[in-house]
Amino acid sequence: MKNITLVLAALVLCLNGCVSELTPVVYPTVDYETVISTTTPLTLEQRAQMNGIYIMQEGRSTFGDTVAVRWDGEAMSIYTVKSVSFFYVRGGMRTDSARFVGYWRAVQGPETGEVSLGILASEGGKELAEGKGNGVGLTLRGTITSPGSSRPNTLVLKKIKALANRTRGFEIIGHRGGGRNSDRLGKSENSIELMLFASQLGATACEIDVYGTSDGVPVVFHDPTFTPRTVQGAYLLGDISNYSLRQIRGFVRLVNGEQLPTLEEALMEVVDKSTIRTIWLDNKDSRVVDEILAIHQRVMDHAASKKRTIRILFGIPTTEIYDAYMKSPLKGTAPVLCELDQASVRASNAAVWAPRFTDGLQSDVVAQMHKEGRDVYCWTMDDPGFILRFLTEGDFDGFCTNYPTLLAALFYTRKDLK
Amino acid sequence: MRALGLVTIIIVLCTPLRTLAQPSDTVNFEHYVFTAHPLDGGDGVFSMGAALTILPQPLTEYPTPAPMVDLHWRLGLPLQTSIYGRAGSNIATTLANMGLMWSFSFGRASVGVGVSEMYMYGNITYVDGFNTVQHRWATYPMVAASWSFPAFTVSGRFEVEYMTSQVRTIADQTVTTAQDQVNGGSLTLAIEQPFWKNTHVSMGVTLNYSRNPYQAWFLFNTFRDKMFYPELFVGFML
Repeated sequence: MKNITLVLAALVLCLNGCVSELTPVVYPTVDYETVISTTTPLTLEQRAQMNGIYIMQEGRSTFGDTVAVRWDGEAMSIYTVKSVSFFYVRGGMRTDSARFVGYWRAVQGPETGEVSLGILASEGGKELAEGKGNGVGLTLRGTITSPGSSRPNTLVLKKIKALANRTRGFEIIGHRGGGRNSDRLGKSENSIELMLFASQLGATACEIDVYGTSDGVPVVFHDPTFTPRTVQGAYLLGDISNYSLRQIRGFVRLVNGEQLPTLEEALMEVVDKSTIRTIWLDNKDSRVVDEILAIHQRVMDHAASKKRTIRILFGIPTTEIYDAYMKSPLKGTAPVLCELDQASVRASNAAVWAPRFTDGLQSDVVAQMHKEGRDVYCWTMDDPGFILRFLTEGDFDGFCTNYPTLLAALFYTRKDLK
Repeated sequence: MRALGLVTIIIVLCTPLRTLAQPSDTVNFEHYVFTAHPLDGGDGVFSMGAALTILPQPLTEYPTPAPMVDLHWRLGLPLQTSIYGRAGSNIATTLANMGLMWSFSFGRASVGVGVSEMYMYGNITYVDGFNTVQHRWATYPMVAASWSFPAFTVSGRFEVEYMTSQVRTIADQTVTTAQDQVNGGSLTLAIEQPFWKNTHVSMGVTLNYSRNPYQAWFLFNTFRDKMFYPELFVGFML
């Protein structure tokens, strides 16, 4: 019997080492400069003209019948429901035609490849150059490369209408700054780099996680401890709250090599360099509630000085954070997002109530929250079936998701939104 | 690392054979559930034990063991056919599987083909925040082969998992989340031998290569990647 116990113990130890990792994603190297240096950047009006729902005339076997095209800053993104893919392309006008290059990635798998697209003068390029019309009929034509395919595949997209929207507005909230490490985005979860890239993934907002260091500095990190899932090497072990910011800066790099950011650094960068309009601080350390609220004040002052509109929500996910917030001398200085019950939402005068999606549509409560002037965000929605159901039958003001690409594709191409 | 782990598992699996096997000059085909050797009509075999896997880390983020009470049975029918089945539960997940196998032997070797249907019921409404119920149906075509030694039998079974229906309910919402898709496959390697008096033991490993592990249905997996994860099992045939 002793032998069997030893055997089983050894087997269990071996099991963990046998479990597979996800296939690494190797992103293509794209020569943006050649195209950018030979084209003129699109104006804001031209970008708006291009935004819209496109039908796939060629390429639908991979990307489905309809996709959403949306410019954000200097890059154009395409979001697809089928294959859950995003395209990141850059380029501009050449007289009365346009040329773009970039890459695509299916975010629920390892597939990626290069993209080359253009607009001919006869297929909407002339109207785009002249700034005429609403872009309907404009045709993007080009090729993509795919893993396992020896030659590029043809892609043809034609604009049929404007992107769907919602009267009350809607936030596509990227979880952990835009996605998890397991989503293999090439940027670590909760890194500044990912937050700045989140809008290209389809996000209009970011949820980020906040812990405190031993010297009371709020930092952006998801787990209470350092593990190989989140950091390179296991140089620091145990709780993040055991280490000072200096120690963390000296020994910790996120899985893709980025520096673990302080909350203030992250928020300032998002204000200065992104189009993200809402940040949800998922606060996990009640010791640093006052510091977080003070940072909120400084960042909002900075945003105001830059005439940047942004909403930074102080998240209350637990009763510990709730208690610390209610006792804080800075209570009431930041808009609050409360995940707790309705009584706590009202007591904290939260601007947003954020229930789990597994609690269902809760239409009556959502309507009551709207009546009280509060928004309702639901988390964490990753399943296309539930996203569609909640979009069409619910009345939420935003979803937090690990796949802003999927949510953006579903949201912008839907016909029957409230 | 994975290869090393697998080799270790196989080596360790072989270890008890030397210490527990009772020497025998005759090959006993009848007490085993995983062997492909045909059972006589009316003969039955029942095994009760447990299975354990560590769920793929991309799904769970932390190493998470998923144990399960595991029952297997097999009943011989005429024409070298048998019905076989499995039932298991760990409260969150309860499954029942039943199928039909036709097999034949030549000497100590046996080969069989079969197909089974599985129903799985998942319920974690009692876990704060999850509030989810699932029903899943899947079909498993399989081929099996075994070799009988005097003291033990080694069997292999390769199955493909074809999910015909997966329906999830959260609160007031029911959504069909997957249907008619090949979810992956598995290779089960089992060693069965006498253990104590009239009790026999089966032990082995199922090497799963699956997109949506049944043990982790409540994690709302969205990865299209198929992931490899072994599942260990041990059962006692009473």
